[in-house]
Formats: sequence, structure tokens, C-alpha cells
Amino acid sequence: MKTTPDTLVQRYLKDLGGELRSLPGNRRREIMSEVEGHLAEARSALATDSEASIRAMLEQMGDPTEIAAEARERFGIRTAASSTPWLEIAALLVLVVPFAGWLASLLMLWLSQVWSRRDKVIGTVFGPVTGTIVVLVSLLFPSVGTGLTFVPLGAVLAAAATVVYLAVRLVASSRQVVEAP
Amino acid sequence: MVPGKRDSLITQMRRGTLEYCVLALLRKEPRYGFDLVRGLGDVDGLITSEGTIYPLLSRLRRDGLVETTWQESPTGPPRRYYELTPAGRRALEMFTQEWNRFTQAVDRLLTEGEQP
Repeated sequence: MKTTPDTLVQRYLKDLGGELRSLPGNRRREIMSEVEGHLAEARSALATDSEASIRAMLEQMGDPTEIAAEARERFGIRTAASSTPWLEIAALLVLVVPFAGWLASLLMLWLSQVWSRRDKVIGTVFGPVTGTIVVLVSLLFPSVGTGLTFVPLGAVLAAAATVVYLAVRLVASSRQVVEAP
Repeated sequence: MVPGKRDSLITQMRRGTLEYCVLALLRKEPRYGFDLVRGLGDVDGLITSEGTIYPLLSRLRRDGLVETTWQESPTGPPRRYYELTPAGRRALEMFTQEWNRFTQAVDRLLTEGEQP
């Protein structure tokens, strides 16, 4: 694509929009529309509409990352730690190991600072509750199978459901932003 | 002083005062963003990136220190004008008093050190 003054401005606004994505929509739109208006005013005040003068104008406007950092600070928004959540991944991996692994994963679950209290409670009771339901079903319908086939099946189902739930919450929390009151 | 240290000093001083400089620029009359940036640009070192003023203006509006109205522009699309609210005026008065007291005390210390 040929670089023209228009494409330079469009690219700048697109970059800024991307950088501001962790802001609530109405504030992102407000800042975007103000920056866009400012650029239009600044551009009409330029002596020449050359590529060089547009670049200088955008430079003066500032790096989109810098504007976005300022916005996050002004609104008390922090993006969740972007480092890899090793503790949480380990908790999910050992959860599938019967009993001892499950206990270890419970410990890591409660040590984690990523999952919320609610997630921790759900993650803890989900396994036993699912397991109990499966055992109850096996008692109610003995014709379907014996307890011997149901208990391992119940354990696997309970572990899998817990892993899926906690993994979903883990991904959701990495996208979450926290706003100051 | 090493340049990096000077930069961070200016950044810190700017951080605490910029919002009141914006409020001060609005004391007499409502102004729009581009015009405000030009006003701030007259003070050396106050803003390095013009765009960083807009998150600040948005925050001031959310805090109820300024309010905005759209007004027609003679040249282009309508402009968003920023205007002090009574709360914004009070905040500015409070800052002006504290600032005067603070700078006088600091000035006194800085000049005292120069005396033999």
C-alpha cells in the first residue's frame, strides 16, 4: 500500500485504538474522537500536507503506547500480570492424577492469586459433587453398570469438568481489567 | 545531574501539576482540546506528548471537575468544549493556595542554602 498522509493518520489512529483496548468502550471512544479531532485541526494548520510534516505532527501527538499508558494510569486500570501463570497451569495438570494429585492441585488452587475466591470454592467442591452424583446414579440404576465401572468414570468426569472450568476462568482473568472506584 | 534523573524529576513534577494547569486554563472561558494543548505548550516541559492530555481531560470530566458541550466550529466538524464546574473551580482554588504555600517554603529552603 502506498504511504500517503491519509494512510499515516489512519494507521496512527488504528494503533491508538489497539493500544486503548483495555479501556471501557465509552472512554476509549471519547479519547479516540478527541485525538482524531485534534489531528484534523493540527493538519489544517500545517503549511504543507507533506508526508514529512504529517510524521512530525504525529510525533508531536505522541506514541500511542504512551497515550494508552497515561490513560490506564488516569483511570487506575491495570492489565493483569502478563507473565505465564505457571502455578495455575501446574494445578490444572496435577488435578487429573487421582487423589494425591487432586489434593496438591487444591493447595495450589488456594495459593493462586489469579483465581477469585468464588473460583476457588467452585473448583474445590466441583469434583466431590460431580463424583457423588455419579455414584448416586450408579446406585439408582444398577442395571446400567456396577459401581466398579462408575467410580473411575465419575472421577474422570469430575476432574475434567473442574479442569475445564478453572482453565476458562484463568483465560478470562488474564483479559480482565480492574478499574479504580 | 544525569539526564535520566532530570527527566524523571520533570515527569514527577508534571504529574502532580498538569491537571491543575488544565483547570487554570479554563478559568476564564471554555476551550476545546486543540486550543488547550496550545495553551499548555507555551509552558516548557509541561507536556511532551500532546495526546496524553485527552486521557486527563476524560478523567477530569468523570470526576466532575469539568463538563463538556459541543459547539459548532467555523472551519470543520463541531468541537467539544471543556468548561469548569463549581467543583472544578473549588479544586483550582484549593490547589492555588497550597501551591503558593508550598513553593514559598521550598524557595526559602533553596535560597537559604545559598547564603554563606
